[in-house]
Amino acid sequence: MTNPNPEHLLDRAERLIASARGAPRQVDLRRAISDAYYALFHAASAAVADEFVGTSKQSSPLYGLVYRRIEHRPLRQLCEDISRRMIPSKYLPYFPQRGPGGGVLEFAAAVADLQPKRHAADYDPALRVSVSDARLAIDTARRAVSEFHTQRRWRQEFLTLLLFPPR
Amino acid sequence: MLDYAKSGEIAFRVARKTLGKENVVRVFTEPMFDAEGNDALRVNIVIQPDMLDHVDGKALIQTLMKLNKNLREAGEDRQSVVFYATEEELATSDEPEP
Repeated sequence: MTNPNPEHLLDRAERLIASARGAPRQVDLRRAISDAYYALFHAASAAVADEFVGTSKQSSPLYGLVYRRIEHRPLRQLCEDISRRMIPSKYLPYFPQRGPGGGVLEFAAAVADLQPKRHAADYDPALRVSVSDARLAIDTARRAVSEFHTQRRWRQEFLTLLLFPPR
Repeated sequence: MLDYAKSGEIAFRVARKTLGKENVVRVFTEPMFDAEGNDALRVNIVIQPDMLDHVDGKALIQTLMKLNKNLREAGEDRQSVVFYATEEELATSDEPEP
C-alpha cells in the first residue's frame, strides 16, 4: 500500500520552507501550501476507503476505487457547509441543526480555508506566498489531520455524506 | 455581503482574541475568487514575526471557525480565506525574486 501519508506530505512541506540558504523560493512556498491541503485531501480519501472497504484490504482494487472517489469540489462544499454552521436541509437527518463539532468541525474548517489557498498557490501568478503563511498552513493542516484521526464523533456521518451525497 | 471596513473590524477582533492581541498587528479584507470562480473573502492577518513560535494549530483553527461564525452572523455570505504575513513580508511582496 503506497497511498500518500498525510504526515509525510506535511514533513515535506516543512523541509521545503526550511531553506538553508536565504529565503525559500516561491515555488517551494507554493508547494508547501499545496502539500498542506493535499494532506487533508488524502486523509479524507483514506478515511473513506478505510470506512467502506476496510483497512485490511488496502491493497485491493476495491480500496483504490473508493479511495479515488473523493473529489475536490464536493469535499469543499460539504466542509464549507459544516464550518459555516449552515447545514442544508438535505443533511439534517444525519447531522444536528448546528452541524457536527469536534474533529470533523476542525477538519472542515481547515479544508474550507486551505482548498482555495491551494488553488491560488498552484494557479494564480499574482500570488506572493509569505513564509509565515506557508508555516501556519502546515500547522493548521497538521492539527486538522490529528484531530480528524483521534476525535471520531460524527466522522462516519461525514464520510458517508462525502461518498453518498443526499439527492 | 459586508463592506470591507466592517469585515476587517470583525476579523481583527476575532484574531486578537484567538491568536493573542500581542501577536496581531492589523487585519484587512479584500475580494478573491475560489477555484470555481465564486466570490470569497480574503482575510489578511498581519502578525508579529515571533507569533510563529507562540501559536499552535489549535489556535489557528479556532481563528478559522470563529471568523466564519462571526462574519456570517454579521451578514457576510462569502467563505473567508485567511492569509498571514508580517509587515516586512508585505513590504517586500512586490519585489522580484532573487
